[in-house]
Amino acid sequence: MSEIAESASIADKKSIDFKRFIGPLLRPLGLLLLCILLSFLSENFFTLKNIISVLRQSTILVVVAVGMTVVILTAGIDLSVGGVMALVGCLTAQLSVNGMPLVPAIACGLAAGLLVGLLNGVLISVFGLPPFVATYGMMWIANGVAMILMQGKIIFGLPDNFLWLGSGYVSIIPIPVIITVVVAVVFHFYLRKTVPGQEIYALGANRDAARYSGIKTTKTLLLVYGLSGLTAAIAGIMMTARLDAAEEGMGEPFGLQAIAAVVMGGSSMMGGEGGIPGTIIGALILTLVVNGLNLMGVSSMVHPLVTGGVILLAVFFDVVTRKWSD
Amino acid sequence: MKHNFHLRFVDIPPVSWIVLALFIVYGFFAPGFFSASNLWNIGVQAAPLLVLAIGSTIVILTEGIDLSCGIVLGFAGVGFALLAQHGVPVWLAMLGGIVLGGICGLINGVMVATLHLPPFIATLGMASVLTGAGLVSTAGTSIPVKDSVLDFLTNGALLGIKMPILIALVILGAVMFLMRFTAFGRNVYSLGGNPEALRLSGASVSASLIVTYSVAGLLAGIAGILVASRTASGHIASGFGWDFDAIAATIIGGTSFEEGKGGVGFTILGVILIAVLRNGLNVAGVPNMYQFALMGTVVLGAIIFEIMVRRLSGAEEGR
Repeated sequence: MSEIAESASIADKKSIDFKRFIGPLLRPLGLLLLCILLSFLSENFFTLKNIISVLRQSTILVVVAVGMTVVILTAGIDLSVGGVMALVGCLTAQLSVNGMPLVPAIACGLAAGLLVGLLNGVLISVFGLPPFVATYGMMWIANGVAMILMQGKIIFGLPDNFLWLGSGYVSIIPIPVIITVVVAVVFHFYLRKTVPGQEIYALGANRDAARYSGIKTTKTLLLVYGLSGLTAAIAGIMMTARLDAAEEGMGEPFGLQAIAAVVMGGSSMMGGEGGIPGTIIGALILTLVVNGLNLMGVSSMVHPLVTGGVILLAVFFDVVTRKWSD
Repeated sequence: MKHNFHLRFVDIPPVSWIVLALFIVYGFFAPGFFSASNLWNIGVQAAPLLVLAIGSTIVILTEGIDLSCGIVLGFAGVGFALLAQHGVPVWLAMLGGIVLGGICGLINGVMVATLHLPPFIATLGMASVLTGAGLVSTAGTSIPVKDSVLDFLTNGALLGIKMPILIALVILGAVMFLMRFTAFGRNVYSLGGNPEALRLSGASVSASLIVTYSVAGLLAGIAGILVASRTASGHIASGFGWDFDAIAATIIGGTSFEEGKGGVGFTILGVILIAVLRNGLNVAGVPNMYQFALMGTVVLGAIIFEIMVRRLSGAEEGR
């Protein structure tokens, strides 16, 4: 009996050592390796201009993935983010083009995203729907509302101050990068340094224990899905500003990519483990993979195949390493 | 006696009443809804969805989910169309498309059962991979197929029943038989309700799971052939959004994600509800762009209704 316990504790120590020293380095190293690989593909890769351009490309994904991280920390999932991005992008674009000033238009967009997120939260925490069913249904609703807003058209020619959000600069730093850094830092500190943030981790690690220790799980879940709706809304506005266009279905690939970024970043699908820094690295890796495909001249039709493959591998890796360290 | 009646009453999923109400409402507001040609039309439209939803139901009974079935439907259609285009006899090409669907299901099953990926991630990843593969192999276009067999499968009739409906009903009967009278059916129910008991009984849990996902893939393949026959073409996006309809039909029909409750038999009610809703909206002249949001809302509403009714009746029984 004691032998078993001993060997278990040794195995435990090993996995803790691995986690403490090599684990956190694994992903940044992977990112670095990918960068070196890409620098062979294109000699322009390591120029400041290209690095800033890659960062800017990654911003939309990072913002969606930050919200997704919070949801996945509770062992949930939000499949509606692509629909929310489309809905919010179309809504703000439609309002701006019809003469609403920038700030109220964006406020409306953010409110719409938050509302969809809260609805997800109600369906999941109050009515007890499985998260992927509730958010999958909500994706169709959000996409459908975007369709109604657009009436089959595409909006071009947004006001200049709107476009500045997507393509403006402060000295050499693009505005979207600044927005993204702010969002990421705020979420990171919220999760790590505040009581509600810690409650999110506790809820994900063990829902019953969290409930018994006095955490209001219903309220926390509402908050979590609301936050994910909010980040998806920010991403939708950023995307519209970047493209100078809004179109139904514009957010479609981001749902799966955001999940992939979170899992590649080391957050567990089982909840309670992971965080924002990992997610940013995951999103950067994914952006670089797509960037590399473009550098190699691969058709964009291949992108879903690659994203799908990457997410399956990442989740598989997640499951295997977790089993191994148990 | 009264108790007995009560139980039977509860056994009828509440969705039946919604379907009934829907028929009455449409009868009033959409003239032409009750014409024989329109009712046949609903049946023909619903047939592939029924086949797809049967697969969805058996997967959900194992506490799993298949978010790839809509794309598998399109992928099987593309496979069939490409084979036929390259001179393979149509019947063989159809078989090829169905087998392709089965292989996709098999891979899903292996990912879930052997590699232990969460089902919705495994199947969502699968859907993404297949979307890419389908786009690349067709350059995003629709691959036309011409053959009299396709016309027969769409408009032909046997014993006075249109072929798509007949095929869907035969499949429904076959799967109901499998579920009730074979080890496969018992295993599917135990997978959701009590996998430990299944393991103790000596059956292989992972093998049962793999078979379940494979069958769902085969059914998605068959649905894909039905759709390809109707449109006389294969297109990767032809099943776009159908996975949601299939899952919705399953849940509305009373199959729950918990403890392997429900069954294939009532899924047909969910399918009828969705098909009637869509058809009624078309007959009433509601533009397509309004239908997505409307359908999503109604379906989520129906799921909530289903859950609430079950919760209330469950609380009653528990007293």
